[in-house]
Amino acid sequence: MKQAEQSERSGESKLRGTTLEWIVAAVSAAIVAAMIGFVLFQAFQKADTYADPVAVVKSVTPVSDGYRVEISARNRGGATAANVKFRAGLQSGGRNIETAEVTFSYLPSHSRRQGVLIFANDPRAYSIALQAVSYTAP
Amino acid sequence: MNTEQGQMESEQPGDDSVVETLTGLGRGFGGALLFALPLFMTMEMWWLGFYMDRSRLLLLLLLNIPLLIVLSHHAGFEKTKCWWDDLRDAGIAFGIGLTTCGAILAVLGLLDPAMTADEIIGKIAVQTVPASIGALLGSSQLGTDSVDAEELSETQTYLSQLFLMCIGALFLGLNVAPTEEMVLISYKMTEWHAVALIALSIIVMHGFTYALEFSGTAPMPERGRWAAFFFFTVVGYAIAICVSLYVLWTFGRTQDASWTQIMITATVLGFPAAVGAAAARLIL
Repeated sequence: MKQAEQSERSGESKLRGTTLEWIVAAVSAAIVAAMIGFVLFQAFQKADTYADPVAVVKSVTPVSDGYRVEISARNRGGATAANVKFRAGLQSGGRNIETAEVTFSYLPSHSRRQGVLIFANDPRAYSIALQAVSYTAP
Repeated sequence: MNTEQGQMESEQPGDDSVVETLTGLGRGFGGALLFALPLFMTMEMWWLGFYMDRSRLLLLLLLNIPLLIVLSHHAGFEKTKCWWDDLRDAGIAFGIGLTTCGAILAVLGLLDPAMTADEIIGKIAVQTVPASIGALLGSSQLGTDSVDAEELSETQTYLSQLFLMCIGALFLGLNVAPTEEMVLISYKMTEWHAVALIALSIIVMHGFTYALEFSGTAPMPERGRWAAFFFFTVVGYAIAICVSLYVLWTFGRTQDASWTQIMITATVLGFPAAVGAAAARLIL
């Protein structure tokens, strides 16, 4: 009762302030709740707890030291892999012409990372075999 | 004694004001040093100087300007009367931050003539933001702020409290966000850890403000504990999380990451940010 009188007396500014407070509080509560909900949902959803790194060739560009092969590595699994090593071989009729390796410090679950391999031979003339060979737990 | 000095200064600005200004500038340098020294000595911060996305760096620097202006209104080199003074003080703080960064990085041998201008400018620019905030905060925290503090607590509105929380979150967030450990921790955590960390952050934040507010300056008015929890703690945590997400995005930590990973990293960074937000309300 007294409070209501006070807010009436102090005028509009206080009322607006209170409304603003409610809006801010409601939006914030929604953000926090959505975040907790999302993380909880993911926690229940999660089935695979191993890393599953794969990589694809994105582009081949001639550079001064040979040929730059840009690869995009992706972790399809639900766990993060560290020190992920990918090895690529240029193959021609079952023969391995050249090998290059790249190591990613981290490949988080369901995330991508870009890397580059450099070959002396033109990879476009051969077939590229690209695969993950090792990783450690973070 | 402080009060006397403040009154004297406001009554007769003469030769004293020059000394006062110089002292203020000195405090600014002190503050910049005190707040940004951990970052000057963090190698990820040096690396950010050359690999950080330039448009995001520019956005960070641009956002720093209004942030400093508003912050100057709350805690500046001197009691400000109009926005023009705040603008000037923000400019001074930016300048002090820039100078401090350039000087310290050069002395530490982190700037090399062999580096490109782009790299040198990038290295200094990314450090300037926390240093300039430190310059403004330092001048108020290290200085004679008893008069200012009294003036402020009367005029402090709800929004200014939120703004201070934002500054606190940004400050502690910026200090730890560039480190590799932030993402490494998030890789080691499961979603369950993240949920626990959210709960812990909120509890710590509430406890921090609530416990200290009894002995502190600005206790919650007659609204009760639940109002304090919803209007300040939950809002503060939401601010901490949003600031964390912004900082992570700025430093390129969200690049090509899954949403789950981003959210877990945000809770990790949100923890120090939440503590910073809670502390800012009490300290500033």
